[in-house]
Amino acid sequence: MSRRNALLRIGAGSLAVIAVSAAVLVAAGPIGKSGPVLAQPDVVEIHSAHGSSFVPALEGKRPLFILALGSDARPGQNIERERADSIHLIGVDLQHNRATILGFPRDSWVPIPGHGTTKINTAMVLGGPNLMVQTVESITGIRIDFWLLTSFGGLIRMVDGIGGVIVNVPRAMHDRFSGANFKKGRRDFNGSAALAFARDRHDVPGGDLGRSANQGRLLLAALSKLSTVFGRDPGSLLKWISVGYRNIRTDLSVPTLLQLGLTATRIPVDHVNNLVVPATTGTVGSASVVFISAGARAIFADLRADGYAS
Amino acid sequence: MRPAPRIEPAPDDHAPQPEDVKASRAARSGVARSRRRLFVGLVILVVVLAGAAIGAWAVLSNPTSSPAGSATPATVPNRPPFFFRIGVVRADSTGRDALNAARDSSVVIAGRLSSFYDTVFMDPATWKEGVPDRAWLLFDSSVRARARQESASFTLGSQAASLKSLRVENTSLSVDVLADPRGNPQAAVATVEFKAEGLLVTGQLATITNTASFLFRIEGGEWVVFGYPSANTAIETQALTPSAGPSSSSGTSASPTSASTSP
Repeated sequence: MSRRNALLRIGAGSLAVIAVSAAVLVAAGPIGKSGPVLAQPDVVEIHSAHGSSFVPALEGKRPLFILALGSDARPGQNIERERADSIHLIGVDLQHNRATILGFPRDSWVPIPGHGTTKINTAMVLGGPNLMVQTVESITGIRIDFWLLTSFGGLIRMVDGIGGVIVNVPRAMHDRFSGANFKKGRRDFNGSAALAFARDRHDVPGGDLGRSANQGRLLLAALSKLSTVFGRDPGSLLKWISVGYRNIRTDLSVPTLLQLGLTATRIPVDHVNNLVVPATTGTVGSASVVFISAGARAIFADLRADGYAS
Repeated sequence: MRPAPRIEPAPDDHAPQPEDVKASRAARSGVARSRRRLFVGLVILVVVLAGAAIGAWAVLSNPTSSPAGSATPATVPNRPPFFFRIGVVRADSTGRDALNAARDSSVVIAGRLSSFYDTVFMDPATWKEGVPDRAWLLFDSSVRARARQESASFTLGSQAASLKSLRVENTSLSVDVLADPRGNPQAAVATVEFKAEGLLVTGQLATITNTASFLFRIEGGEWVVFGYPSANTAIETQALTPSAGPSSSSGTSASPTSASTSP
């Protein structure tokens, strides 16, 4: 029994030695480390910092043209076969990251291919977005690449879907028809407020022309917000595209819309000109109409050249 | 005449033995076996405990083997590969619900990014020999040359050669996936944060921070990067000097001076 006890004592002793050694090792840190165990940094130096960014945008020498349309279809109506009360030709100068929003008053008295001369917004009733494209192309001499069409409800849902937009309201608006009731200045708009702002033509200077300019302001507000949120979170662009795509009709594919969205993020808001086709009001028979001025030709030519009209 | 040698029976000899002798031998044999078993048991116990103690020391002195999983000892032979844990996954659908497609896509994208970060940051071979060509296959051919030109934004850059060891501090990955109206993924944006601490051959501590967002699309059946709205890598170095002791600073516990070996 004495030998057994000796073995037990040896075993226990070994365990104790190992346990103590382990404890010392744990406390002391890595084997072979010389000098004090702990060290503190006393000099911090930015050794290197490199940043880069590449957002693939549409490229090309030729400018890009998109026709953005708003239908006045009511619920249950086919939005492609009702009048287009918001008509904007967007030109993008891909080489210089700048753009132009050119609004057409809905009552513009223009020739519609195959249908004589009538109000421009009738073109969509007669032939849908494609005839709208043909009509604007024939007026301006500009080849349009894509079209986008939304409705009242679509606009509300889009603006709400992106969390609203901040619009610079140029003057106070109080219009019971559209529901616009805004003070002058920067206003945070939800979808309904944005729609009211875009529809009001009764108490804005120039009526239909002033309304068209306000619709351009709404587009600028959206572009401004896109730039901000994309800078913070590039993934937000995909949300914008999904919200947009669900609330528009378009001949764009999702990948192309993504490319357009990426292109838009590269265009500073102050590089976008918001214009309305110069025009005068008048009547044809009993109808109030807008006659596009001769001076518009210069704008069309300027826009056609590089997508930017100054 | 010499007497004939006495032949002792073997323990298993079946030759008849007196009962007391047999009992005595059996008892001695049992004690011996018991002592042998005890000894062998003690030896095994000692070995196991020694292993455990060394393991505990290694864990506590080298956080690269922390149970967090994302921390990877870069310089231990046969190191486990670095892998991003997927955080937020967002499905941006233009039609059908695309959450499942987004989840599947995020797993693939996380795998591709993990492989890239493992290669360009964590692999000691890269420190020595530079970023291998295969790493850049993460990028679509339309943007690959540009990414390589701007490699300092994605990699350790010139600091790689002076790195002795590196361990991951923390990482995050979120993925947004855009799907077409049928629910097929079309594009994704992956946002990455990657922070690691290392030791330079000069004895300086290096803190490496990389933040990036990658635009992904599917080309040839594979998710590839076709843009990077932002990609930044910053490397801060800190000179190590002996301190007066543990109480001299509260921020000194992060020391990458582990038992890892240089590449």
